[in-house]
Amino acid sequence: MKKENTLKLLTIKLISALIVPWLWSYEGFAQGTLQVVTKSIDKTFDRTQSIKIKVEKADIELNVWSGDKIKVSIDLTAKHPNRKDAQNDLEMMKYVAEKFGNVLVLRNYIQIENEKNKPVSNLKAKFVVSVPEQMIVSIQNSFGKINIIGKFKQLQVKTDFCNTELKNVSGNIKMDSHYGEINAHDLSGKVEIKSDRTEINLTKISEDFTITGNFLKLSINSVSNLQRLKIEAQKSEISLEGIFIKNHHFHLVSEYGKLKVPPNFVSLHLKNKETATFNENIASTISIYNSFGTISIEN
Amino acid sequence: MYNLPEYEPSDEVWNKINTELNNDILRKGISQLPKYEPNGRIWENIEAGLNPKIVKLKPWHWVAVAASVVLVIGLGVYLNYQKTQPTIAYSEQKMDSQLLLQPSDNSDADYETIVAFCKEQTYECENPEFKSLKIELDDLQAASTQLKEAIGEYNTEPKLMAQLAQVELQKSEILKKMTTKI
Repeated sequence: MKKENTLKLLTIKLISALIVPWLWSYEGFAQGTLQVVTKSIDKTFDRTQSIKIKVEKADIELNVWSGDKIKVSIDLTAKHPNRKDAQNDLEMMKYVAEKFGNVLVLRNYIQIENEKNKPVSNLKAKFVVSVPEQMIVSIQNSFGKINIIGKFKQLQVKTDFCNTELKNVSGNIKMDSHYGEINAHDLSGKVEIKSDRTEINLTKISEDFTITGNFLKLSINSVSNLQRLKIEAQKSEISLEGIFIKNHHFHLVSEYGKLKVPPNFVSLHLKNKETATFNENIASTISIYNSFGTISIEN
Repeated sequence: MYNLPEYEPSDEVWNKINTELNNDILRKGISQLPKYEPNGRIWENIEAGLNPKIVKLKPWHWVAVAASVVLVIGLGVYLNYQKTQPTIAYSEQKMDSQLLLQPSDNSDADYETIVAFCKEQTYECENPEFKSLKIELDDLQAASTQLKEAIGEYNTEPKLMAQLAQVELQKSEILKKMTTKI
């Protein structure tokens, strides 16, 4: 009897010793680890008149290079604890990288065949695009990151919940953001930013700027060769720092909010409105309107 | 150097060099070596080898040449095709529990409470200030839902979680303001 029990115990131990490591080696059981499956595509195109990048949940790196071709590299990634699920979901993520006439179109999208087979993995795309100088580029993205460097003839960026970084970017620039962040360093040209609930940090801006929006957290640090800066906002926090105030004409209006300006500004307090002006004869104008928020100017 | 004077050796010097060269041991040895003449057949063979021959390829040779050309071109096309084809790579990534949605991130119940309240108590909810806050709350609620959908079950993006935290904070502020109006 005792011998039988010992034998049973031994058998159980042996089975456990074999099965447990096998179970742990199975991807699904390796808790806390994601299986990452990445599909990579590289393509080169002859220069087109414009590029349209319409993507979602994508990281975009757009840069200008010295060549005359357009280089595109795409990474589509699926992450899931089970590799098979990641692989299956990756199949649902499609891409377009094609020329339609004189327009190069780059896209990613999810193709769901039926409601039951919706992707369960974390899906992500990455587009690295190198273009020649002075191109017309438009970007639309949501829930991703965008990095842009270089000179463009025209640049349009529309984002939802994205973090956009621009470095040494110039041209005719239009940005439209909903949530997320815009961080720009050395931005020049005719720039129009329309934002909603976005944190905007601009350093070293030049030429012509128009910024409009609601619920903004807008900070501008240092300007050079600024012709015009016009801000029209509501319920926003606006601060300008590191600006040589003697070089600009200021016209500031705050309604139902707070206005913080250097002592040499001429301020006027009305019932729910506060205005401040400075250097009226200077051509370079900074005009700011904000309601239910703050405007702060510091040297 | 061009300005230095020029000198010519005398004939006597040249004669002496000539005599010494003729008395050289190596030269004497070479003159004493035996002489051999190749036979006529060797010359004929050499002559035949010098005349160019037209090589005629057999049909199967042509097939082999054509096959090689096709193979080389095919290999080039295949390699080019391979280059433009997508590649698949596999790797692993550790999950960070901080980047995953927690039960505390769900503030939908608070929003639903306000919606339910406004269904019953229309007087307060018709107040312009309250209505303005409700519009803001709706916008934030929609943003929160969209962000949660994007974050999903296996998020690895800290920025998305940071954005959700911001939205939820703003939502709390609005809810606080709304409750004071009730």
